[in-house]
Amino acid sequence: MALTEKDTALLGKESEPFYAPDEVSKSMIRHFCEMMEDPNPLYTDEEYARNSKYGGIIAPPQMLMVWCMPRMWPFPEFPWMPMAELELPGVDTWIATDMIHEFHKPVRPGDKLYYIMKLDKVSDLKKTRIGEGHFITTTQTYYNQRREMVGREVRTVLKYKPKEEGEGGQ
Amino acid sequence: MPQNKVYWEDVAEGQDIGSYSMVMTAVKISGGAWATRDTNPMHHDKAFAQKAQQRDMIVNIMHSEGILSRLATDWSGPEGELKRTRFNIEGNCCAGDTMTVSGKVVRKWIGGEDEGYLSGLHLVELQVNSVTQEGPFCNAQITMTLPTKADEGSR
Repeated sequence: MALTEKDTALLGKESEPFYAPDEVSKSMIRHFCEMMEDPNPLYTDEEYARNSKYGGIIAPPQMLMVWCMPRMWPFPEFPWMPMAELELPGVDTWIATDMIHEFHKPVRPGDKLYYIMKLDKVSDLKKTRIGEGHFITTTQTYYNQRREMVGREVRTVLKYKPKEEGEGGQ
Repeated sequence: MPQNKVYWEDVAEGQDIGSYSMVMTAVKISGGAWATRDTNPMHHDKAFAQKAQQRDMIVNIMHSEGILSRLATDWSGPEGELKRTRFNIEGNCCAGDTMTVSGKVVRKWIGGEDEGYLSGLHLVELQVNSVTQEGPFCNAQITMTLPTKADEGSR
């Protein structure tokens, strides 16, 4: 199935900035490292980090997306986002399938990040192992409070309708 | 604690960078999802995940990114810097699965003038793969810089 006219018109559109709910914090960094079992001393060892070229703790670069994840409560007011405007009739469940991250500048405790999202691509309806759906690709560009670009992310998610029990396919 | 330190000059294309395995319990999967602020029920709720055609709760992409990126910096030590990463989810990793992560160096080069923010940097590209007992889960290409002996000599 091809895209609706409204959905096609959203391709290439950019969002307003979406701000992280909180500043980058050592406690969130420690929680992340705990779950990944990541011993890198730049992330959690004050003394090592102070004597490194960074002069202090940095966030794991791979946390780029984490800082701007929305709160569950109270649910934030989102700015206009092309992805949220997509109609894509019949699909309501989603998973991420592909992610590219570029790291341009270190992110440090106390930084407050925001991103701008661009809608790059939406596939026609495709059959997958778990059901039929659309692959949606967006680019998020992340900035800090000094408006310096810290990184970029190209993410593909599958928004799909899970197959019913007993349906065929692979 | 002494830290690993791999110099760019000492690396060869094709070289292994090690491996590790983790048992991905339900607590670990949900914990990794919370640590990355991912509230999709697919990563917290077995019944929801099964209705969505997964075997069980699945590991989320930011958690996978954290686990696979770690292999790169465990190998290089803290002076290796992540610059560009790509993660592609091929299968799934569900509660109770054992995830094994391994990798090797596939390319070593100095960033060219047409490579933007990578220009002039001493780079390696790593191929990092993770599998479960069920098959492939996630593969990654990780580009990072390494310290050079030349830089240290000039200091």
